[in-house]
Amino acid sequence: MKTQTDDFQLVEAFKAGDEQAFEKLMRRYHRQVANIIYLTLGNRDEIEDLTQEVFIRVYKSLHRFERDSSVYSWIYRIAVNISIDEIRRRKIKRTLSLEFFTDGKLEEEKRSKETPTASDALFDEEKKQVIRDALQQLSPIHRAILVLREYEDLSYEEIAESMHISVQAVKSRIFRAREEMRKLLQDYFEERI
Amino acid sequence: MNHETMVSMLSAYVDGELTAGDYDLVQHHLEQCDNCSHQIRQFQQIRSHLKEAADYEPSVGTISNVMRVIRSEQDSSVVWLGPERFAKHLVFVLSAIVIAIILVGSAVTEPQSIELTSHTEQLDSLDRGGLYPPSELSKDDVLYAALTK
Repeated sequence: MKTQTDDFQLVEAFKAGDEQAFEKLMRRYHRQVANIIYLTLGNRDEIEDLTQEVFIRVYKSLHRFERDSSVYSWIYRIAVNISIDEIRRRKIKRTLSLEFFTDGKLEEEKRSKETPTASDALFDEEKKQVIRDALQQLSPIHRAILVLREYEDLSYEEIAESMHISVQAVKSRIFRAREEMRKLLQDYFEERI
Repeated sequence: MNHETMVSMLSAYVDGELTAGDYDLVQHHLEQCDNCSHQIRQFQQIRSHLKEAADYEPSVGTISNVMRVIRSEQDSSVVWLGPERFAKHLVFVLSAIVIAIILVGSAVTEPQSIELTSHTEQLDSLDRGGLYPPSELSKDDVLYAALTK
């Protein structure tokens, strides 16, 4: 709540001509925005450029911001829109085959698990990559909703504000997105996690 | 409630988005259903691993880059204010010139009317005999009258 009050104060200061207030807002949220883009796109290409694009758009429209939502859910909405636009623009194809979770790589994963020399760091990195890759199997909307919920801990109401959909739609989509993720990661869960 | 209904509520249960009554129902169901308990654990794992997967550290230059882009856009908009101001001045100056021309033009034509008036007065004096009412005199009449005086 405190952050939200601070955010509103920064917005008011910006509207009154204080450019540094915008810079503070950007420092507060730029990591989250970059990671929303990262998880939604699934790779590191152009994250910096897209993060910049988000904040340039925030700067240009901040004077129109009304207190009908939190500042961060408003910023995340811009980040999600830009990410989804980017996905559509690139027409990103599914880069990871479902086979990863069944035969080939999973067997390899099992073997590496049994290898005592496999480092924990490598395991962690693989695990993260598996999660990120599974996320890419979801539709862009499900992906964005799940990222806002799981990574940003936004409430259903805040996600509804960010995505311009009803709370009921958020609820059902999060459930479906989780179910998809659970099925995609089923084998991996059982073997590794 | 049946098992399927409970399953559909598990996600909201994990998120703490159920009403108190539904929460108690799911809680009670979980005590009896291993499948649903397992599913809850998987949802929680997805959450924790997804948080870990968000490990991108943006470059420290991102913020300064954004500010630079914004300032350069502002500068370019200031540059474009020059021609705009010039155009406004040009319109003002041209308007002033047009008004001046109109005023000068009217000033130049006024003596002619005075001259004509004086001619008319002359004609009045010439036409004392009342042959020609002043309003009906033409230039030729005036010329004739002047020559024949």
